[in-house]
Amino acid sequence: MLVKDMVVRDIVAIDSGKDIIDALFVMFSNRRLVLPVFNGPHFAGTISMCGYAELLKDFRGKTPESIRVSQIMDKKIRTVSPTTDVLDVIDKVTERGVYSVPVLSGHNLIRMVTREDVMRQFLPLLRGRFNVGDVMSYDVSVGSIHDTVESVVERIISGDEKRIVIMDYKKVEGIICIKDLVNVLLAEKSELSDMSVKDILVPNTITLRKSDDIAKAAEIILDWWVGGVPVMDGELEGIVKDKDILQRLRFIM
Amino acid sequence: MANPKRILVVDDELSVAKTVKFILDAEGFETQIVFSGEESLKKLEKEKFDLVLLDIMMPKMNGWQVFEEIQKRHPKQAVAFLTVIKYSDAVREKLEKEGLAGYINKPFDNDDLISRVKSITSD
Repeated sequence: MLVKDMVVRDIVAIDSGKDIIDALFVMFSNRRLVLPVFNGPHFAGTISMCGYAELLKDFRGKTPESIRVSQIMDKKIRTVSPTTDVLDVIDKVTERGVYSVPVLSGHNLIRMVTREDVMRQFLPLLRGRFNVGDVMSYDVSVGSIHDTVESVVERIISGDEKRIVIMDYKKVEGIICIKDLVNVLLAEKSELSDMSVKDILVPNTITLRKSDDIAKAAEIILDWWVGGVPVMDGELEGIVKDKDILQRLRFIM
Repeated sequence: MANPKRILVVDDELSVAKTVKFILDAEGFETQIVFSGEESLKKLEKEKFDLVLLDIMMPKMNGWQVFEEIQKRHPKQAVAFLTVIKYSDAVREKLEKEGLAGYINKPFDNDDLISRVKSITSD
């Protein structure tokens, strides 16, 4: 299948002159992790929640309203054409920190293909093909419901952990990921030190078993806008991530 | 006697939603509660409310999405966020420009909740 034949969501974009608060508003209210950036009528790059969180290392001390989209947008992005094979797109969107790929026709942006779009499109192919245990990752980052928000922010910004499963003893309480974090970073800085993870966690006790169908994991990820689902077997065994599912999907297409 | 002002509370936490309802009903408001953004949109198709009190951090459809959708479908509907996160002044100013009628922090003081809801619904 070619990219032009995929069903994807409408483009939601941001102007390069807007500030980060504007960009985050658009991301949250449209459920996008990445936005294409336009400089006037011209496509100029992308901005992502993940990129913003990572760039906070360099912009510490600056308020979101003082940072322009043009300052932190990614200009060196890889694009595809309408006639690119979907398999190539899967390779691109599953690279580390890459969640979507712009599709250009000439210089014109005609669509953005995201991990979500690919997963939604090919969900029927996954059904009955694999169990969660076949694709899950056993390396899972764990935090406690009693951790401070500051400590979780630090772990995600500074480390390789993009999703932290939050536990209350042996019970899963939810997952903190980039989007939860960025929402918090719009808060008054003085408030963060008094907040615990419990204050910002959207309760989500959905877990999977290794024997569950991988399509079930994909449905939860799409429905709940989370990048992964914890896998339990009495205790926490691991996590099944959107990236794991797409990489497996690639081999059956 | 004037009709009571109608409030729709949208919060996935049952205890919070019930507490808000209890406080506001005791003040003479007519309060209804729903537990998700999807439910609130269905409710707004059928009934009119003077104010929607909207939690931000909800599963599936988050408060920001619900706010955007309400603005599209019912541009005149007053919406206030009900949230644990105390956003910075700059964020709050932008939200007001975007059409947000107010902002109430959780946990809330009863009197503060009542006065803010009264203030918004009296406009």
